[in-house]
Amino acid sequence: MTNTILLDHLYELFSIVAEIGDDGYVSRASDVLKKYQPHVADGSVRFFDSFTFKRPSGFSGGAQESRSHIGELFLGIAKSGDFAVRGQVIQTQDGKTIFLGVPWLWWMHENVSGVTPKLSEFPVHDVQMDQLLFMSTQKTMVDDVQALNADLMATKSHLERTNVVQQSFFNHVSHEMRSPLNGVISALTLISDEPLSDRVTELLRLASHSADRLLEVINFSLESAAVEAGAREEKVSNFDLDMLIDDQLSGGQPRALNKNIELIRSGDLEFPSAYQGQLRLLKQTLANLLSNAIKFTPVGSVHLGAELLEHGQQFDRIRFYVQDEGPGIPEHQLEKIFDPFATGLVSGTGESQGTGLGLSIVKRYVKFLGGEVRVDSIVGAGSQFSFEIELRPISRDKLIEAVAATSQARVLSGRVLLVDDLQTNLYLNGQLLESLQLTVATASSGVEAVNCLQQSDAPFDLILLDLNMPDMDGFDAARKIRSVPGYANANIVALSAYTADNMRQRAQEEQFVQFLSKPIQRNELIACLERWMPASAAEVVVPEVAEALADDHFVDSDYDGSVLAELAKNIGREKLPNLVSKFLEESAVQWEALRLALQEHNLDRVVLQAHTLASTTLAFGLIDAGTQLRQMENRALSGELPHLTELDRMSQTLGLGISKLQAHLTTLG
Amino acid sequence: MYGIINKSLREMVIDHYGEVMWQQIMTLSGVPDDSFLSLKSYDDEVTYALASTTADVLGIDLGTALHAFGHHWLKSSMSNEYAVLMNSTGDNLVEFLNNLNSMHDRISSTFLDYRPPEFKIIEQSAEGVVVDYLSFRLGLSPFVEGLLEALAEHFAQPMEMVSIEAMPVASGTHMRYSINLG
Repeated sequence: MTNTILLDHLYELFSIVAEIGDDGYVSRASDVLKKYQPHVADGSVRFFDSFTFKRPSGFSGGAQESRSHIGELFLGIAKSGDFAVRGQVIQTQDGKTIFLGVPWLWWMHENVSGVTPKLSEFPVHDVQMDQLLFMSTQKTMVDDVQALNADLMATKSHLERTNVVQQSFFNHVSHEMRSPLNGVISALTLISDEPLSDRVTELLRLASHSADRLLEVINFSLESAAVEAGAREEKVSNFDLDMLIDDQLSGGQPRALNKNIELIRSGDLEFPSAYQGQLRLLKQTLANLLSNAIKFTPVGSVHLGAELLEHGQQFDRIRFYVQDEGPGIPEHQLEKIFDPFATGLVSGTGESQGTGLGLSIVKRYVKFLGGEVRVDSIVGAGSQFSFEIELRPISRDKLIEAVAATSQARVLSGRVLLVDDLQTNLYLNGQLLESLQLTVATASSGVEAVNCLQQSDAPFDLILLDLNMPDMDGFDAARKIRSVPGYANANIVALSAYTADNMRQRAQEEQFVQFLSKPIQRNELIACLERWMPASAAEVVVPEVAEALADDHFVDSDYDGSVLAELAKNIGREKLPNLVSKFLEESAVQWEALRLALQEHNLDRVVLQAHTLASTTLAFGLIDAGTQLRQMENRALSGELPHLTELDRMSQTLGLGISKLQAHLTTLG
Repeated sequence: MYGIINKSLREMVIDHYGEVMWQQIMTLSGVPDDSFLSLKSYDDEVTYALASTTADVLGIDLGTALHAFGHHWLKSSMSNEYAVLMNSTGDNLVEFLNNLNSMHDRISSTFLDYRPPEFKIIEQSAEGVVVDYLSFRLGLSPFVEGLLEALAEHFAQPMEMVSIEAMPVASGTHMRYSINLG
C-alpha cells in the first residue's frame, strides 16, 4: 500500500518524516524534525540513537531492528530532553526505512516548559490537539462540579440553619398560642355552665369544638417538632416488652370499655428477653396507633401485637401491629393516609376525624425507630397498621430501670423534716410530701429544726432546708443540724428560688446533697425523694395524679392559673382555700416588711424581702408581680436602692393578680 | 453556546463589579441559575439575556458590553486551562488569525454542538491585514472587536482598527475589519 503513495505525499500527511538509511543516518527530513532535532535532520547523528524509545517494548534501536516492528507504535523521547515523537516505521519497496510521525504533544506538555508545539506542526488528522482540548475541558468540568458541590453544601447548611430558626420561631408561637387558647377553652367551659338559650348553647358547642381542635393541632405540632429536634438524641432505655404491651392495652381500656370494644393482645405472648431501645418513641407510637384503632372501630375488637421475626447476634427484629375492625380505607387513599392533615379519609364511624396529624407523627416516630410504618386495609373489614424494627435484647437482670420506666410505680416511705421561714411554703410543700405518703415535720427556722431533731423519737430520713431564712441562713442551719448526734451524715437538700449556677454549686459543695429550685415541682421532688429516701419494705406506691385539666387554666401575663391547677392536682382542691389564705396573710406581712426596708434604705433587707415575696408570688402564678419583684431584688443585689414609689406601682399589679387568683379559686371550689 | 462562555461572562462581572452586581443581573435577566457547566451546550438566548442585562445594569450600550466581554474572553483563555491550545495557535497576531479556523475545527471534534465563526485573512501586508468575520449568529461583532484588541495586546502588537464594514449577507453576520499593524 505504501508503495503506491508518492513519497512526497507522506510529508503532507505527517509533520515528522525521516528517511533513514541502513546505516541509521537520515538522508531527508521534514521541516518539523529539522526545527526540533537539527543534528538528526542534517545527518550528524543517527535517528534511532538520538531518542530513547518507550515503545515498542524491547526495541533497542537501529534501522534494521526497527523494521521488525513495522505496524507498532513508536514513542521516542529525545535524549536532549526537550522533544518527543510518536509515530511508526514503514519500509519502501526499494528497502528504505521511513519514520512517519508527529510531535508527542502530551509528553511535551507535561515535561517541557516554554516549548509549545504549534497547531500547524500537527497534520489535521492528528487528534492530539483535540485530546489536549478535551483534557483541559475535563479539568474545567471537574472544577465546575467541585464549585457546584461547594455551593450546594453552603446552601444546604444555610437551609438547615434557617430551618432551625424557623422551627424555633414556630415552636415559640405555638407555645404562645397554647396558653391563651387554654384560657379560651376554660372560659367557654365556664360559660357553658350558665343558663343559656339553645342557640347560644349550640354556638358555644361549635366554639368549644373548634378550640379543642385548634389545641389538638398545636399540641401535635409541638410534639412533632420535639421529635424532629430530639429523636436522634432520644435516650435508650431498658424495658420489658411484654409489660410495655400490657401497659398499652391497660391504657386504652377505659376508652375501649366506653365503646364496648374488646382489646386483645396478639402475636407472641411472651418474649424470651428484655430489650433496649427508644422506649418513649415506641410507647408513643403504639399509643397513637391503638388510640386510632379504638377511635375508628365502632364495634368488635382491636388487636395489639408484637412478634419476634428474627433473633440476631446483636438485634432482634420485631414486628408490631395494631388491627382494628373499622370501616377500612379505600386503596386509592392508602398512600395519603400518612400525609399531614389527611382527614376525612375514613367515614362511617361517627367519630370526629381529628386533625389528621396523628398518623403523620406515627410515620416519623417509626422512621426514627429505624422502621417504616405500613397499612393494610380491607374496606368493610378493618385496617392493620404495622412496622418492623430492630431492638437489642438484654438480660432481664438489667431490667430494674425498665420496671420503673414502664409501670411508673414508685416505692417511697419515711420521715422528712421541712424547714422554711414562710408558713405558706411549709404548708404547701408539707401537703405535697404528705400526698406522697411520707411523714412530715416542719420547722420555721434553723434553731427550730435543730430542736425538732433533738426532740424527735424517730430519726428523719431527709431534711429539706430553705437557704434564705432571715436569722440563720440555710448554710449555717445545715452546719447546726450536722452537729446534732446522728445527723452528721444526714441527707440535707437545699431549697431556694435562686437558681444561679454559683448558688447551686455552693450548695452542693457545702453541706447539701442536692439542690432543688423553688417553687418545687412535683416530679423533681419525687426524683429527689427516690434518690435519697430509703426503699420501703411495704412497697407503698406513689399515687398517680390526674392530669391537670385544661379548663382549670386561667392564663395571662398577670396570672398563670395553671400553677393553681397543678397545686389542686398535687394536694387536692379541698386544701387550696386554706393554702391561698395563708399566702395572702403572709404576703401582706412581707409586703409591709419590704416597704419598711425601702423606707429605711436597708439594702440587705430589701434583697431578702423582695426575694421572699417574688418566690411566693411566683409559686401562686402571679407572673407580673413576681417578675417585677425579682427585678427589684436583682437591682438591690447590685447595690441600687429602688424607690418607694415603685412599690406603689407594683401593688396595683399584685392586686390585679390576687383578684384573678381569688376568682380562679372560686371556680375550683 | 457552551457553558464556558456564560461562565466567563459571570467571571468578568464579578471580577470588576462584585457578586452583588452579578446576582442583580441574574435576577433581572430571568436566567434561572448560574450553575453553568463548561461542556454543556446552553441556548444562545441565555448568553444574549445575560449580556444585554449586564449592559442595562451597568448603564452602557450592548456593543460596549460585548466588546469588553470579547476582550475578557481572550485574556482569560490565554491564562486558564486553554492557554496551551491558545499559545499553540500562533506566536503573533497574524499567525494566530491564520490558524484560528484550524483551532475551531479541532474544537468541533470535541464540542459536538459547536458552530464556530470563520475568520479569513483577505489581504496581508507588512502594514496590516484585512480580516473577514463570518458567523451564523447576529450581533456579536463587538465581541470579535474586543477579542482582536486583546489578541494584539497579548502579542504586544500595536494595532489600529481602520475600518469596520458590514458586508452584505443573506443571513448571519459578515464583517470586514481593516487593521493597521505597526
